[in-house]
Amino acid sequence: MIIYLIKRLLSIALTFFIVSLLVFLMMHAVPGGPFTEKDMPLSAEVKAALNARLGLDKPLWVQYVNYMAGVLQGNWGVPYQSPGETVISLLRQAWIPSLILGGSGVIIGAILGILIGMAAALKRNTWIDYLASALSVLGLTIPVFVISMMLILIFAVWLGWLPASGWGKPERWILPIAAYAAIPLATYARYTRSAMLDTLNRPFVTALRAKGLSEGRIIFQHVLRNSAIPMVTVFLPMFIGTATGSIFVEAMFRIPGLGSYFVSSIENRDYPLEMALVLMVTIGICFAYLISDIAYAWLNPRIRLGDDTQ
Amino acid sequence: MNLVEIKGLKVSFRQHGGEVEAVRGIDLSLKDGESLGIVGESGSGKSVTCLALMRLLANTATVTADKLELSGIDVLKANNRKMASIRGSSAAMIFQDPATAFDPVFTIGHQMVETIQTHRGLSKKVAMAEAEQLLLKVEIKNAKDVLAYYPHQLSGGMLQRAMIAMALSCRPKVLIADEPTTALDVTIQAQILQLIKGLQAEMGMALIMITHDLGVIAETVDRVVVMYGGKVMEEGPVEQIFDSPKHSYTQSLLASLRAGETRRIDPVAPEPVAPALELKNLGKIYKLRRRGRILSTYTDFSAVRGVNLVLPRNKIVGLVGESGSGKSTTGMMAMRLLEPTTGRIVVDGADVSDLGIEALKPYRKSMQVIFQDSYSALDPMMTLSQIIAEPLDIHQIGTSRERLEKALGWLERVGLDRNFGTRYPHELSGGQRQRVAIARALILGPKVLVADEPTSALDVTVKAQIIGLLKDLQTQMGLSMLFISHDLSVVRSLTDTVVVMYKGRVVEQAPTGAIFANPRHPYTRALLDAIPVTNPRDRRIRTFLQQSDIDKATPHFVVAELPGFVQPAPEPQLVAVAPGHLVEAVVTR
Repeated sequence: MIIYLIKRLLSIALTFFIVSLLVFLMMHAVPGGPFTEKDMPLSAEVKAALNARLGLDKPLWVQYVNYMAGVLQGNWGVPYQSPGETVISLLRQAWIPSLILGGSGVIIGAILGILIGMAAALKRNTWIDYLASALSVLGLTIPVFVISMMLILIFAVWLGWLPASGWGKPERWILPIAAYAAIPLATYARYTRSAMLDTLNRPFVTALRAKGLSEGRIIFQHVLRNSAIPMVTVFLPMFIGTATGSIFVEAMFRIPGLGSYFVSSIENRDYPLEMALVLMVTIGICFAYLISDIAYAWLNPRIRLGDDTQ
Repeated sequence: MNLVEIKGLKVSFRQHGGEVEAVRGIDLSLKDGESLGIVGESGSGKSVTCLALMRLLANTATVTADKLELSGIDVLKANNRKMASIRGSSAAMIFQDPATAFDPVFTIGHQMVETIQTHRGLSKKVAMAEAEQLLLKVEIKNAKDVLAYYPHQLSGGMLQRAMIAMALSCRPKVLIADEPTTALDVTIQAQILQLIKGLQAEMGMALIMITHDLGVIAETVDRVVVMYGGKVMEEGPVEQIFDSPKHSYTQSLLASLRAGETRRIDPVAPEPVAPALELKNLGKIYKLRRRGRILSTYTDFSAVRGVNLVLPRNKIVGLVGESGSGKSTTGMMAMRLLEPTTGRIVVDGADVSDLGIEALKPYRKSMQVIFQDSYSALDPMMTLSQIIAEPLDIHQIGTSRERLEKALGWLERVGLDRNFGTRYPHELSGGQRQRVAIARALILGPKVLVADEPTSALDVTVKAQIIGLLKDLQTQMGLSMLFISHDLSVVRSLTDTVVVMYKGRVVEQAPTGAIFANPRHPYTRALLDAIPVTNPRDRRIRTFLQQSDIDKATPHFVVAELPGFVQPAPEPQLVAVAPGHLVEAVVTR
């Protein structure tokens, strides 16, 4: 187990450096730089002075080494677009709306998705099943910004029940949470349905019925637990995935979260912010998979206890 | 009042092509304490009948009956709560494959306690103590440990015992056993059957034994119902069914059961030419990984150790043993489908042990294999003629037209129609698929054929047909065949020589007649003793040997007792006790 953890952590470190190198190179491969606006051209001297102060005049590999050395010491740099702050302090504020909205979206979506998937599996080939399938196909195929737009159109414009956008009061959160929930809901509905059907067809379910257990106990204790094992693995990665999903949702609902910084950091060639965002998502995904894999092993006695049948 | 009362039961399933009738109007009854056997091949409706009685069929099934009662309760009308309360308490079931009949994510103890609590409202602690007692009752010695085990940590035989214990936990009036030993080795089968019989007598339960194996019937029940195609063919006391079967289907079932008893008497002639296949000191070691807290350690596991085997031309050698004895591993190594760790493989006088893939290719023509599971052995995306002709393609024999013609000819030769050539494997039955596999193996005209349990997945009548086909083709083509099987009745009727393997070693080898008449090694005797009887009058109480008993009972000779010269050694060695009869024994001076 310890060996396994060390191996995984090493591979995460490797992933981290490969991604950082790739993103760094791609970022600099795009023509232009942070101070090359056409509208307000800076004089050559000012530009040179700025570049020198930010270290942008040095060779690329020196810039990379300096940046990574800083990162490893916990210094993620200063965003060019608001030089009064650090990248960390900027993101610390931006996380909050994204985490509240995205997190609630994923949790609510997952719970509803599991319930819908269970209903579909238990009422297989009835209208409930077909409706659930249609819902999950729609959820996965319609882009998030279209869903957001439809939500705004229906609930804010036509019905006037909820505010269309903004941040602050809880009633402003409802529509973005609904938009965030669409993909987890659709994914979980599909996963749950197929995992449940798989389990329901296994001989031990007949054996459980033959023992005289109630149908409720069979479904909620035995079938759900067996089906949940594969479903655990998708939850955390999906959670981290909301960080990138926020690009569209937060733009539609004008929420001051992470999403807008993804776009603005690229547009403004804000190198430190861009790197920080990508690397944080990378680390998040890596650890999400690591934790899911451990949870999977822990839930599955075959893996937890090893296969002694040999 | 009868415990089970079935009148005019009909069951049909909705499928894509319409309704399929599985049970077509059967009558059945069972008294308290009675033991009834239902025998028939797969698709005869025997399992469906019992599942209908428990109302456990999928909702694609339509069940109608004039009467369907279990301990006085109308199964067709009872509500779900009522049904759940009689399942497990009035009638309990055990299933074919115990490995899939337990929920893999809960411990044995949890699953037993849950059953006991459902029906008997005991506290968890009392229920756990009760579960331990039940496990002891089914002769599981380390009951306390087993309660904390997950299903995958137990062997098939142990799991089936635990399943029986769980079934008994609510003192059912009838135990329904659906092929309870089909997935188990023959020695384990005999133990489980004896256990079921003993418990039935002790607890005064009724028993319904569903099986395709008449031997199991002969061992366990008083009354027999023979089913075929969803109908009852014949019914009566077990002696009557075995002594004077009225229906022709029962007669054919009995004939295929007893085919194994006729002994072939072939003189064992000395072999002047090179044998078709010779294995010399063949061994296979697997590295087993044991997870430690920090480091994994590896230990060697010898699946096969030092096997010497000679397959003479034109003969059939049976390789027998329980699962895990190394018999299939030996067969696969002989075909170079698995790399041996040590030893040589000589095919028709040529040593093929070290040949690379290309160099081996010409020899592949003379070494072919048939597998146990015909379904996974045939490519589902290819038509039958493509499958059978593929070996010709690989070795580039003939034009494509000739290849097709030859393949179609082989279809006929294995007893299928030429127009099957355009069909796909899933359209065939298990027996038909095995015929295709045989045609594919023989189209190149091999000298050596390894058949790895080719009939163990087949119904008893189909099994007899496939054995007959193999025997005919062997004679016609002058094949030398290594027949791997755990089914001793088949081995008896088919083979010239039997080699018995136990824990990776050959422990006895002799002409077939000698093995059955005069087994010398304790394991061979245990194996022979476990064969189900073919007549209910021969039932007996068996004593089973533990592994330590077998080790203790290893034959012992002094040098002077043996023909020829044998070097005394502390370790067991194979010695000749009669011409052609070798047995593993300890030899001292």
